[in-house]
Amino acid sequence: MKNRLYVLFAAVSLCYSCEYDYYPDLGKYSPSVVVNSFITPDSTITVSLLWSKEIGEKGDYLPVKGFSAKIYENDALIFEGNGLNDSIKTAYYPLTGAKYRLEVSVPNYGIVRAETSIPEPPSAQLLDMGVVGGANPQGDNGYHHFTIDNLKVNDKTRSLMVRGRWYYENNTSRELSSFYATNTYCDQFNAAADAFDAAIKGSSIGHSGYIRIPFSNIEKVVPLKFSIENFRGELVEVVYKGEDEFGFPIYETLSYRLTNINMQVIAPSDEYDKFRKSAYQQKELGNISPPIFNTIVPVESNIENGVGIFAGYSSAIFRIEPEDDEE
Amino acid sequence: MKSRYFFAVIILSLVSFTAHSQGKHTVWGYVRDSLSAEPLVGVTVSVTPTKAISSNQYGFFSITLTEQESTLTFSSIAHKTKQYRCKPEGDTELDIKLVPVNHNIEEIVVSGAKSKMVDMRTLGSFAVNSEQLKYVPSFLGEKDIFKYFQLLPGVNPGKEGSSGMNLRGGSTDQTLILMDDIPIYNSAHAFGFVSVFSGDYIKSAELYKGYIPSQYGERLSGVATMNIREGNRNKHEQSLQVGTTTFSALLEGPIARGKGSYLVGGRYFVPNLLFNAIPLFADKNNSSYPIIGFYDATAKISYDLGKNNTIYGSFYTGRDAINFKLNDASDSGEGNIRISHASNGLAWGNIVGSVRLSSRLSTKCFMNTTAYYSHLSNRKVNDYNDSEGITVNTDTRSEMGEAGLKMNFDHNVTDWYDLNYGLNVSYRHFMPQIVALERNGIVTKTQYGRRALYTGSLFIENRFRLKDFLINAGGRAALYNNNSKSKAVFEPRLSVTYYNGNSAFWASYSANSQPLFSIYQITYSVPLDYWIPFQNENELPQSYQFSAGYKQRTGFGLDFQVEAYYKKSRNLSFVYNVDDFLMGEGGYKIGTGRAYGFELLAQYSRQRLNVMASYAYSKSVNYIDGKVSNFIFDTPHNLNIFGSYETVRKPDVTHTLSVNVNFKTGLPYILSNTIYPEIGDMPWDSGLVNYPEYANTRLPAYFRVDLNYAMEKKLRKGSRVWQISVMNATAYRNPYLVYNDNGRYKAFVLIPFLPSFSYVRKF
Repeated sequence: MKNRLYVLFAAVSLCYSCEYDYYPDLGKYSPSVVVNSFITPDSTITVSLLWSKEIGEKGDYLPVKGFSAKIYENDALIFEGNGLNDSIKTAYYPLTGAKYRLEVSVPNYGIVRAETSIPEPPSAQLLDMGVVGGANPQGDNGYHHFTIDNLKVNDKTRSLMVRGRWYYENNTSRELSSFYATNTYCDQFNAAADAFDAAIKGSSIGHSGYIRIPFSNIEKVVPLKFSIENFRGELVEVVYKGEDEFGFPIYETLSYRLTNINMQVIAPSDEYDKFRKSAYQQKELGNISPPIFNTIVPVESNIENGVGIFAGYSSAIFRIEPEDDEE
Repeated sequence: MKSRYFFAVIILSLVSFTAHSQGKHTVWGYVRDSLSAEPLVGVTVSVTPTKAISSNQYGFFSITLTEQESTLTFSSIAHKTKQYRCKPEGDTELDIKLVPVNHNIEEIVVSGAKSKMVDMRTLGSFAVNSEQLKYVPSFLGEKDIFKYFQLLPGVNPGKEGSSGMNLRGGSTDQTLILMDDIPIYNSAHAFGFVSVFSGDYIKSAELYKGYIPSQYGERLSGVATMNIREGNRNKHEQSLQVGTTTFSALLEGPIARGKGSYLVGGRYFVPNLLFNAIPLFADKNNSSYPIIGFYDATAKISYDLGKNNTIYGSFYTGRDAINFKLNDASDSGEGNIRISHASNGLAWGNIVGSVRLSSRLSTKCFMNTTAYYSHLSNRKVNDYNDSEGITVNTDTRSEMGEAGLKMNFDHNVTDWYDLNYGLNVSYRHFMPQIVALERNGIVTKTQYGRRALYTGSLFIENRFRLKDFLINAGGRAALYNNNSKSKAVFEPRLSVTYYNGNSAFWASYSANSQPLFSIYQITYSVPLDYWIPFQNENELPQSYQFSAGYKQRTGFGLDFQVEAYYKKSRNLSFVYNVDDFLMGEGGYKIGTGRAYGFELLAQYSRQRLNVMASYAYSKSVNYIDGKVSNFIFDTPHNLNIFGSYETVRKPDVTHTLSVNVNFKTGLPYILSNTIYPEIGDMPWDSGLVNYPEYANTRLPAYFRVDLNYAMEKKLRKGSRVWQISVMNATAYRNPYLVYNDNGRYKAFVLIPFLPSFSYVRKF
């Protein structure tokens, strides 16, 4: 209660302000084609095609139908087809070093174009430091430590990125949403350190979704120590099972054991890097409290006559299993 | 080609130097305030409207008269006009003392007319009457010289509450702000709501946004100069102010029996006391609270070194800070409770200082030499410590500093010709980002974008008074080096004014360049800025401005002027990715700008009433990558009406009601009605908003009415002033910003209705 009072006091003192619903005159809304595709040599090319929505509009995004699409690899046509659903699915694996161009013709809309390329994959060494030692003196709070070393990339990409994904025994996976690194050579736009969190988590710089390392810092950043939370966690799902005799809903709680984490080091194309970074900034900086600190950040898109992203990347993946902790 | 022009101007100047004058005599001396003996700047010393000069920053004047000319008029916006009859033979030294307008001393004066709000000089420049500052609606109880400037046409504050000065479609960083000739790089307290210049210390202020005298450079749009008072040379005085925003104190007085003077003042953000009291009541193991505050201190000292030399020392420091504190107790295992304390904060501030020597070299020549240093720093600090001995400190800083030397010569050559010339040299260092992490004593440190800038310039300005014409012709030759690239430029400046009785016409041309610019820290929509030198030799920002105007003074207290301008700028840097920019990996675009418009200003003064109305029509656009976009603070229509009326006017008591009304077009803004899904494996699920790169809409029209009531009473010793202000008295909802709140837009209003008060006691 006290904390709330302090926050209230601060808000009143600092801003002495008010808010109201605002309806800007932005003209008549017309939907745009949304292209979403990250292409990598590790998987076939797929492209999602949806219609955008008017802000505040409820419901799902609608699929683009009746389109025809072409994909070029180094200016040679490698795919041509008509789409009925909301996506283009091909059997082609992109090649490292190749350039790709997408052209989609949408009835009563026009042609949507985008270009990207696939950089050389990076190389790295991942060391599992466990929960003992490492950068986190409070390891017993559930923060597991890793070290990335020998980080290299042949192409001059704008950055390298480190991302992670949880895998569970029911064959589902989740984005590893938070990293905590100790290194100031990670991208400084993420360097919004919260000192309290930092000490608890054994780090000083929090990263949502991924760590981005600018190209000029790749050699300086290693060894990169970082930590993740709840390494031995379980995936808990609550499943609706119907109603009981009194009409009350019945739920069943299912838990799935964590099987592994895949740590991925990504060499992004320029398009991938700009999109990731600007999308992150739009989310992070557009929703700050108090709102006086809010900043509008346009997301960088390479889609001509549309929105979204068509971007290449290559990566190296490292697998970590929780059994290592129990040794 | 440009250098030929420059040499031609110099040769012309040298020829003029040798002009022989017969039957003429020089009248020179100093103009001072009759009460405090402080030198008065900007006092017009005239024989005719055409033949007039101004006293310089040190109160010095020198004018050559013919045998037929024997009466000099000394006029100032804050003082009663005085005439002096000279003997028509030989050079004459005068020590002129002018009586303040608001002082009731019987003295032989020519005119006791009430002063206007501002001195409407020609060529898009204004001088502000600091006496009138006290009646302007104070912002949060503060007398703010920048808010005063914002009443003038062509001066746009940008966002509400800001102390920014965007002149004629230029951005804030394109305005050179000088305090006693020292460049100030962050002129705002409290995120821009209060400027760093307290109205209590300001002796005079000038604003140039059209023709810019050759002695000023390195900015594209204009110059604001603030001269700090030197202090009373006759007696010691003190002043205390308590208000809802600040507590301030001011001390001044003579030193060495009137050979010099001192002035020391400081301000402290009053709500900071309340914030600092929170820890006394907060739970030390489980609480979080902010601490917000600022302070500043200003000092000035002057001392006469003989009759012809005076040395000055000026100093200013100010600091803003906002901190969020967190205390927490948690179980660290095995029943141990760990008490931890964290602090996350922002801070920024200036430290500036200068030493100046003003010397009268002869009855016709005055020299001023200034050595200065100006330092700006911004910090983001995160500290943590706990009862188990863990400490983590991160310190993200940006810093810049400028050291420089200025020499300025004012030469009264003949009765029709004056010359001003000199040089400036400076060195600047920039450290846009320094990240230091300390963890249990182990420090890692990174730096981004470290740069330097060397500048040197020579300037010359010729002032010709030919019958009814006043011609200013000169230029500025500058050399900039950013440690890797050099760029030389010549900036011609020309103005012609024609006087016809109580009216004047003028036209001017100014070329300007700017070797450094500021980029806003991307995480904040408030001014916490980095400064950076120009990138390449072909990317030096430059501007060219034409302006023309007309001024009329009527016999019944009404003055008005109209001025039109056209300005082009090129090589403007638009930074869209600060990280890439600082690491030298792009992140910026080069574009051009164009601004044009006209400005109207009318003033009416009569007995108890003072009214000033200004209107500006302007259009300012940028061209980037072939696309046209509105300048971020483009405001086509801006109307200000200010009035003050003395409701009580007795010998010892004066009550003044002031009203200010501002109506203007809403600012350009970026919004979108399109939202689209993110690619599947991103960690968010609310979609991305398709914001365009440049402004595509405008905020609603802005309207605000401010009221102020000041009650001044002269006491047996000194005086006291009660002041009550209400900002946005009609509670009109002007959006400060609009943001997307889960699929709908919300407008954030910064000043719905804001009362304040202050109490000043002088003794």
